[in-house]
Amino acid sequence: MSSDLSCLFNGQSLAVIGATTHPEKLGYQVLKNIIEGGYRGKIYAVNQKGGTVMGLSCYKSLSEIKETPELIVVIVPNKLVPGVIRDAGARGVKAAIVISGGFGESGNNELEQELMEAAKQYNVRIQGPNCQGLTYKPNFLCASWPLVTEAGHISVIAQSGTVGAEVGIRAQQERLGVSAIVSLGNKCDVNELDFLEYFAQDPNTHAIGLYLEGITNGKRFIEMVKNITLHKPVVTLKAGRTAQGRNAVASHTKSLAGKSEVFDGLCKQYGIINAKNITEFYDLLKGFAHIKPSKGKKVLIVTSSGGSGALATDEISEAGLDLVKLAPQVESIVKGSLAAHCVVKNPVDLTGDATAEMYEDIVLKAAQDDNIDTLLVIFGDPYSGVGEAMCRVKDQIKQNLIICYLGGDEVQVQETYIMHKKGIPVFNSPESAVRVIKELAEYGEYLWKNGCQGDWKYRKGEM
Amino acid sequence: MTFLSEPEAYELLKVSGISVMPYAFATNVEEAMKKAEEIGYPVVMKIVSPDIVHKSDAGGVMVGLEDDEQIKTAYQRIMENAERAVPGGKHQGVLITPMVKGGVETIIGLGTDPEFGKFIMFGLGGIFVELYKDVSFRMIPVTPNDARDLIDEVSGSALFKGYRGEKSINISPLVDLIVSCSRLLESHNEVLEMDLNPVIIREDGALILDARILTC
Repeated sequence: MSSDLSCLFNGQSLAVIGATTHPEKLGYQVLKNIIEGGYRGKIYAVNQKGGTVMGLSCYKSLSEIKETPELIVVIVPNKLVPGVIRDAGARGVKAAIVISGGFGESGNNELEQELMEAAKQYNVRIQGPNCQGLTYKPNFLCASWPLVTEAGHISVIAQSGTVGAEVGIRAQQERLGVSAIVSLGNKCDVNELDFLEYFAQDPNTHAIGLYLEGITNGKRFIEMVKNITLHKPVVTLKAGRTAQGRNAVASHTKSLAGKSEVFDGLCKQYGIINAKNITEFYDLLKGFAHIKPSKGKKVLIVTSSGGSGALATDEISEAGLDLVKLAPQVESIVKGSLAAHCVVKNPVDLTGDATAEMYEDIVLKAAQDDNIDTLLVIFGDPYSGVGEAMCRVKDQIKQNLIICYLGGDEVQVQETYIMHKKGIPVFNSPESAVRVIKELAEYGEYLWKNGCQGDWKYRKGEM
Repeated sequence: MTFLSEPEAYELLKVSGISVMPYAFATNVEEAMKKAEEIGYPVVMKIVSPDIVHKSDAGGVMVGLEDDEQIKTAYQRIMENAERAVPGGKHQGVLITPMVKGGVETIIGLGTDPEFGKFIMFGLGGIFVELYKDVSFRMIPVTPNDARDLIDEVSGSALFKGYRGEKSINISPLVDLIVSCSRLLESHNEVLEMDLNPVIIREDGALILDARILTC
């Protein structure tokens, strides 16, 4: 019921139950992140002891608050949680993020049952319990940790709070940002499929990331995901690839992970992009949230670094992509613009003499070759001005533009910010860039096979 | 959970529209000789016993039998081997099938994933299948396009394209067989696992040489 979840994501007032002045406690951290995250709705702090927290005077209970908050964030000892939900439900609160742990995951099944019944009886939607909260940038909500302030287009549903947090941290550090991070916890009410359904229709989400251990309803997942991938990319990371990994999962959240080979096949069949580790998971989300699926496998590399160009070449051939020759007339145009010592093959090597202007000029000229599907541009030194240059280039070419920047230190960081601000993801290794190119090509092929090529509407005019 | 006997497995395949090799069940030597004559030499003889699932391991398979004399010897040895493997087991008789030569040996497997449900596996068969693990998976229902992807994904599928001067082999019968297996699974909930191994892919079609079906 995606409409039900709207109260979780878009609540215009909230109360933190268990707000505290102790900086080492979650009740402090979460309230702080809600305030510093710039939440625009009304914020209430609730603590039995009253007093003041971060400039907010604390209510001793929910019933003392005149207005009914739409959402509550619950960080109180486990035994108190069902009572909090009953009180809140009776007041008309529609949704609760229960961060408190100590339920089914530690053997307290009866307490979890009691919580579920309270939620059902009072019609309160519950995220958690035992979860790491919710970040949703369109509503300036960060009822979680870490604090993510950068708004972007990646939404992550994570069974492990840490995996979601790590994606948030990387996206924050790179100033690429996220749209949402949700941590599932024990899934006593809202599960991964509910969130998946929500993000599928959320216009701010351009790529959905799903970290899974066990899944609530595998068949329903398949039914949903095969429709979603026809219009929005879904990237998965699934633990339990090995028999030992499965044991770790079973003792972790007590859920059984399926066989990875079967899951790999399933992903290929239904257009899911499957990552093998956290780094790939983040890179693929970053790529898919900003770059459209490509029409084919033909790649041209433009580089200033022979070494990086060679590494990218290896990756491209191992990935089953094609390094294309430039069309003869385009090749002579490119040659005519470069000094004699530059190598105009694939890769096109601008050598250490390269400048931002040269990159812009050559990439635009090479893009006249319609045969190319993807231009991989590698910056291998601290080049200033390439960020702005690539932002201009991107609007003028039909091909996918993939940027790889390495060896550029502080300048690289600044130029990356410029490109990220314009929604051009920058990868800092050839292997990351090529992995994304490969998946974009395979996804494009999948869409084409399923009659969807060109029907890539959700991002039109948004980027 | 029970395994169907090989003749029962073939019956299930047949009613599901999957063509199987001629086969005959015999419970004594004379019958075995008669059936072998009908099927045409050379033939293969296999034990039929609910107590023996891994027939080769139990010495329950004899191949390349050319005449009555060899049928007689084979029948006795298979029955002795079966008795040695599972003393007092329900060794009902033998199955006679034609001897097939040439082609590419493949495996089609069907299984049930605890999370996502029933799936099909395809791979290059033979005794090293578990060593090389050159297999691919798709969930059912499998479309003809899925079946082609399933085949393409296996690195050994180069063999179908005429590897090192060998003639290329038409994979359409294999695609049809995979799709039919998917349909069988859809309409038979009781089938939990199934191994068609080997399935020989030759110019004249996809030939199922052995079937193991586990039902609930």
